Amino acid sequence: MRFYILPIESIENGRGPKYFRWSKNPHGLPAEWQMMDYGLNPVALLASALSPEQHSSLMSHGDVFALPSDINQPLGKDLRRISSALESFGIPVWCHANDSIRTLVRMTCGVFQFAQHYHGLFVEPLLQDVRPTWGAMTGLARQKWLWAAERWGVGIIRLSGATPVRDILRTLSTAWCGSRILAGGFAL
Amino acid sequence: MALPKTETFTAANGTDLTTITGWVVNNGGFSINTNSLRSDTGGDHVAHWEGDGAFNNNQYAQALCVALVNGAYIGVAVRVHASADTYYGITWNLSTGAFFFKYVAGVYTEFGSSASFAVTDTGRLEASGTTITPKKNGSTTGAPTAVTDSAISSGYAGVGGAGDNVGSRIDDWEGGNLGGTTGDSFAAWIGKVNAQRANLLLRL
Repeated sequence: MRFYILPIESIENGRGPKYFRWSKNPHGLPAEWQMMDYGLNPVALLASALSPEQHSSLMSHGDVFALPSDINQPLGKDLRRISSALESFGIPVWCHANDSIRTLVRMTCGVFQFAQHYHGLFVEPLLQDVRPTWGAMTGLARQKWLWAAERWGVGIIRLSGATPVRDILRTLSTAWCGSRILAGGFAL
Repeated sequence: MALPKTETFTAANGTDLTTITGWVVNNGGFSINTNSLRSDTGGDHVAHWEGDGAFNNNQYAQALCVALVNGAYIGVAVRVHASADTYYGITWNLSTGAFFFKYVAGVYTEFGSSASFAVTDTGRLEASGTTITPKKNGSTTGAPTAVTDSAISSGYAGVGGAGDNVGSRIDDWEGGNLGGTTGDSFAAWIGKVNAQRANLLLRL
């Protein structure tokens, strides 16, 4: 089993993993998969046990990123490469070199879960660019984030206009510490 | 009637589901055929039961599959919104088996690849906190893999489907509340979050 970050494709009113077979794309890669969506953002964390040939085929696409297969290994020297790749999908990364891939995946899942919560409340995606500051967001967007966070069970205070949005997401993601996250058929 | 609610769909062929007490159609349409339930218009369908008895956030829906063809899907749903096309669902057809997905305001997102399913199998979907678990014949074995998802936190148990073909039908539907929890209940999860709240505030 291996985790991939890849685009979600939209066909008619449906969303599924790009390049894989799903109900609205019968010509995709015929493999078993499981997906966690980034809310309404068109990005997913996907788990699949592909054959070496299927993996190579998938990785021939420039918009797919494969995480190392051993999720218990530390990020180590791969930290910069992996962080850069995930950030290009709009996924903030706060890990350190001694953190494991598992920790990275858990934090990513935490961000995705908040994005899903936000999607359920407002039927719109989170910001796809998490580099801006709180002050750069519109007043309406800030109100939505505050309300979503409150419903999420996390009070956000001590915000200033200079607070990076990614720092807020980190707080919201951290709210998942201690909770079970199922991804790819097992608990992270 | 207190929960769990059971429904045997006993009525004349062509009876609209909405004429059976307690059933509300959110999208599409369902009708009775051979004392079982089918989806009966094109497109996607979902309905829920909101008679006596309140569904907790932790709930389940299950049904016996009595007929399957290609071109029409039938199944069960949980956390169905009172009126919007929003719910977690699992539906079945003959060639592709079980599909596990969510609808949020009419947008469909598939959770995973399909799994085998056949006539005489009983399918069940459980929502406990943020853990959504499909089952087949009382077991997770052979069913689509459970997921963690935070898009929908409450609603009603119900039925789902797609397509217009009398050949895919379910019977002996049941919807109710979960006595125990298979993952973090929503209340337990909120408690954990609140317990960390002071720390989280300091982080900002």
